[in-house]
Amino acid sequence: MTRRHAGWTSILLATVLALFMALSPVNAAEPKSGGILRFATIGEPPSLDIQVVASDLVSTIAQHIFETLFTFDSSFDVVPLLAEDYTITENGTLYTIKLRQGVLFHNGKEMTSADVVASLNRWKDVSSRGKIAGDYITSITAPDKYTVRLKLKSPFSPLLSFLAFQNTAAAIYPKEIAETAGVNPPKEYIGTGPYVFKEWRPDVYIRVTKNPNYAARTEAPNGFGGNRTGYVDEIRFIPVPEVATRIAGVQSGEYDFADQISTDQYARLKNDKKIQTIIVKPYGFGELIFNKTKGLMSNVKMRQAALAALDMGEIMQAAYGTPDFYDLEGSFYPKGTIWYSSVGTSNYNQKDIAKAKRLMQEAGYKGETFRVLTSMQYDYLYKMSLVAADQWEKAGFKVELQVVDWATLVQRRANPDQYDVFVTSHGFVPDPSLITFLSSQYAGWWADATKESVLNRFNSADVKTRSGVWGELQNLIYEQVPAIKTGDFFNLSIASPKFQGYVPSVWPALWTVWLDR
Amino acid sequence: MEQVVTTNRSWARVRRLMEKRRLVFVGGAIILVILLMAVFAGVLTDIDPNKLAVAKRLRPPSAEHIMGTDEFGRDVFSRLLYGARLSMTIGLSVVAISTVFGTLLGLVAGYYRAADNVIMRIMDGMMAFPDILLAIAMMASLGPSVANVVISLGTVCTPRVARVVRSAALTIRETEYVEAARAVGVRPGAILLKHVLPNAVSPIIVQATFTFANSVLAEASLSFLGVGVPPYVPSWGMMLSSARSYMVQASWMMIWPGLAIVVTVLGLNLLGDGLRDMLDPRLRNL
Amino acid sequence: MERYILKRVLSVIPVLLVVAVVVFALIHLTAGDPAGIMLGDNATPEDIARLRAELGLDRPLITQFWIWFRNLLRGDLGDSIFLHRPVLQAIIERAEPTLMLTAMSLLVAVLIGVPTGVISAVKRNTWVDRLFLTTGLLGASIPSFWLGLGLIYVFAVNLAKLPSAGYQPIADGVWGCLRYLILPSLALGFPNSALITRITRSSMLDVLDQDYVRVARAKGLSVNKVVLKHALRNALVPILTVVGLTFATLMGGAVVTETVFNIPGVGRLVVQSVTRRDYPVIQGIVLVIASLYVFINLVVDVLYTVVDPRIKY
Repeated sequence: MTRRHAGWTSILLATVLALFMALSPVNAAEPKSGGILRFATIGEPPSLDIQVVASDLVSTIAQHIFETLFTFDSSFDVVPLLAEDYTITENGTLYTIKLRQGVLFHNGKEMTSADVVASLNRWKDVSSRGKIAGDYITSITAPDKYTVRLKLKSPFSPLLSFLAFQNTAAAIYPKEIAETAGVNPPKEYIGTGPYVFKEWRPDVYIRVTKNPNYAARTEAPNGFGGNRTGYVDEIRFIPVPEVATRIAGVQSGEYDFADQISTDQYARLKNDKKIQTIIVKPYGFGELIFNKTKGLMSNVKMRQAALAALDMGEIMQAAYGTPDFYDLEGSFYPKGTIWYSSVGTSNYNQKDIAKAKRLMQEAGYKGETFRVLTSMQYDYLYKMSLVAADQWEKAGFKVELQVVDWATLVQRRANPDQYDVFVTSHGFVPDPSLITFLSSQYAGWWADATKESVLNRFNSADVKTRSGVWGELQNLIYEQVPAIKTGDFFNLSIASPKFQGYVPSVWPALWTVWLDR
Repeated sequence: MEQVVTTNRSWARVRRLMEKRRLVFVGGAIILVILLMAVFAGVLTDIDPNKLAVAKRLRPPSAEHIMGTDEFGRDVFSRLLYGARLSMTIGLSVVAISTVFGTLLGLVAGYYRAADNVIMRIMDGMMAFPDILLAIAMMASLGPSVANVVISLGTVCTPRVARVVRSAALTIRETEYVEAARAVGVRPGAILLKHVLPNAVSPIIVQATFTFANSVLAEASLSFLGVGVPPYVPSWGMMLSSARSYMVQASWMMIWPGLAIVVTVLGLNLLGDGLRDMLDPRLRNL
Repeated sequence: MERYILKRVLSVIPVLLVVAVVVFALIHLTAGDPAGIMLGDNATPEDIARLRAELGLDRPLITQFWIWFRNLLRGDLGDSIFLHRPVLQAIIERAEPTLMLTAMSLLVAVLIGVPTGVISAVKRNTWVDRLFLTTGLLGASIPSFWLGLGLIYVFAVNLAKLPSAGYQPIADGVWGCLRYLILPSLALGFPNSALITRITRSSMLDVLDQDYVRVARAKGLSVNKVVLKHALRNALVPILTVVGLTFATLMGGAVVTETVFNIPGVGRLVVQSVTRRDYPVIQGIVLVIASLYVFINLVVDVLYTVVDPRIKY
């Protein structure tokens, strides 16, 4: 078989590049090295175990420390990172990955195939996305010091995307750490990345310093790929949960960069000379995910009723304020990507209360309590759920809004007795098979025979036919309503004027950034 | 010279008394207005405080929404009125709980020497916690709800009432008529109710006013911190908590609930000060 | 005097015991199993059983208290569930900002409260007196978080002169540290200065009315000298008491102020621990602060006897 260079995504239309225009560096002035970069993050991560913890915050911080075999370039093509190159043989069931030589962990040891095997084994056992890929993987072996072989029981076309993705990432840890950690966070954070973990003072900061021995790739920086050598000497990830404090902090020069700024502030902030505003687009979409296992919403007609009742314009406006930051799009992928499809989207944004009432009647709804699980921690989620709950109430549902902290929501959504729908959001993912609710293991549990067969076809399909199968799957989502997409939203970041070279992303990567003094 | 000073001082006292009555009047009037706002919220506005109107979010004050709208397009004025209802409800409930339990404990401690030590050591221990901190810790266990706010603030405020009542009871139990009552065999319960309690009424009333003021402030703080009432409940503290993110472009969200708290607490403090001066001249200078 | 001090020191014991009982009781307030609540709904029965055993929840309440109390006496406040470290360590790591904020706020409160109180007393019943008292009353009615937000808006956002959030350890520079504390300590100190103004004023009035002061004035000593040399010194005792009391209020207020200004102190930790359901941390902080309060009041009481030898026991 021939060596391929992650061919499937290269069919992304040229227009995608226009869409990702934001991905080109903000400023082209001459980079400067040194300085301390202070990044006001939305809170304190539970750990930096990038393999296990699905939080975007963990991905954001930990990607500076840990690296994966592959990564995505600026057009979301998979490119090698710790890997040198690879071949796919035996009808897509054998992946042979050559590793780069001379890549050092932060403890000074060289990364070899033994570390990769141990890390991937842990990943497929404990990471939620690793488990999905793990279902296809029969063995991970190391024929020599710099080669790793993944044997699959059947073709799994998104495998490289899974290995490249930085959320619940297939990150490479040293063998000793990967083997002893189990489900718990590793005792030490040792990776191969451009920054070295130095200090964690809970609620004060996480401090990483520039890796003096970083084994950089020789290609020019491109998206998350290419040369990732950092410019600043030190990055401090400072937890600042209050958005108002993050804004004021950047304005007063306290922080250099802050993420997840309330989009309502855009009109005001874009005229502020003391800061830069950065729009990250695409960013993610809002989700209302039903409990399909038990209770009121296990009835598909009730879910269809709930979908029919919603006015997405109102929901998205409440959550994101100005139309600059949201798009009422039923397709799970934006126009211009190969995954764009309008199949099934006529059921998006119906605003049809009469239809909702009819479906509720057919379902035999007798005013049982409809438990909506939400959290204040992410204010846009709370806003979406409050407006959705209001609309459902108008359609005749007896809604009970349960506002809990995020940690509780995550716990409670795992228990089918505790809720009927929960609110969350999903970051933009390069491949639909990375979307969480498609897995029958994910909270809400979409376990359905039709869906499993379509999903299987999607995962094993040839690159050219995959987008067609995705259309089928999207149609099924609008028929069975396992989850409701509320709309696409974009993210607002702000930075001080000296913050340069940033490549906007869902998971801000700061090795491209320098501080202009 | 001595003469002049005395005259001056007695004149000053009279003038001060009038002044202090003015405090009672002003404070009382403020609280009356807030209470009326709370009771007649439904009459003063016909806008539902929880009615969402996303299209009209963050609108500045206008004829339709005299205090503007919030981030969900809810009417700030209406939420302010219903917020007054919540503050008054919580304040009065906390006053009721702390006064009943505090008075009981204080009377018993002040009357029975044996109980005094035990009760007052417990009260001292409870008072070692900063109010808001103990309330937060209790809310952490109880969970956010209006009833739980009342329970925790009620618990936090009780010891101070007990202490005030106890010291009133202590002075009264030694008086001749109480001793006489005891001598003729009046039951202790009857003595407490008929003789001791009426004499402790003034300090109880004064303390109740300050308890009221403290609970309004404390509820606002708890809700602001996200450990008070649930977020959709119209509460001044909750309104300020969400106003924080809109400080600059929707200052009305920040100004009105804050002013409402200040005015209410100021009214209660004025009332309390005035009542203390009227009812308890010993503390005149405080 | 020694006997009084000894008695006063011993009187702390029952109070601390009550504090311990209350803190212990906090976690048992929740309906249901504390272990289940700490671990969340997702916990397996084995996890819950393990934590129950760890916390000793499977034993009688009295035994539980005794174990907890014994650990307490050894300085063991348990381990934080979220932070994966001993509670005491977590508190110590965050103690500096809280202590600095409290001390600075106390300073602000005293610097505002004592002079206004003295002036009020000297100029009693004039417009100055009334102005100070009314301002004080108004200040005491302002929620400190509202004041804090207002200060951020004016000084940090619009004038951009002072940091709006965060903290710099004093080891990294005294001025840098103070800069961060100016706005928070104003927000916290000002509302708490009112009580100090009033106590100062009333104890000054008491002293000013006393014969020896009047004699001093009659002897022709200047007003300033009388006030400073005699009256203020004698008014120190009640002022000292109220400073001790204010400290507790400030400690409580620090919870809110640290949250508004994103200061990584003990107060913010307690609020975050509520969201994280980290009960051992909540218990530990409440316990430490209450004990600190008891201790400070003990010191104040003992200082009484030193400052004011007229008090006989």
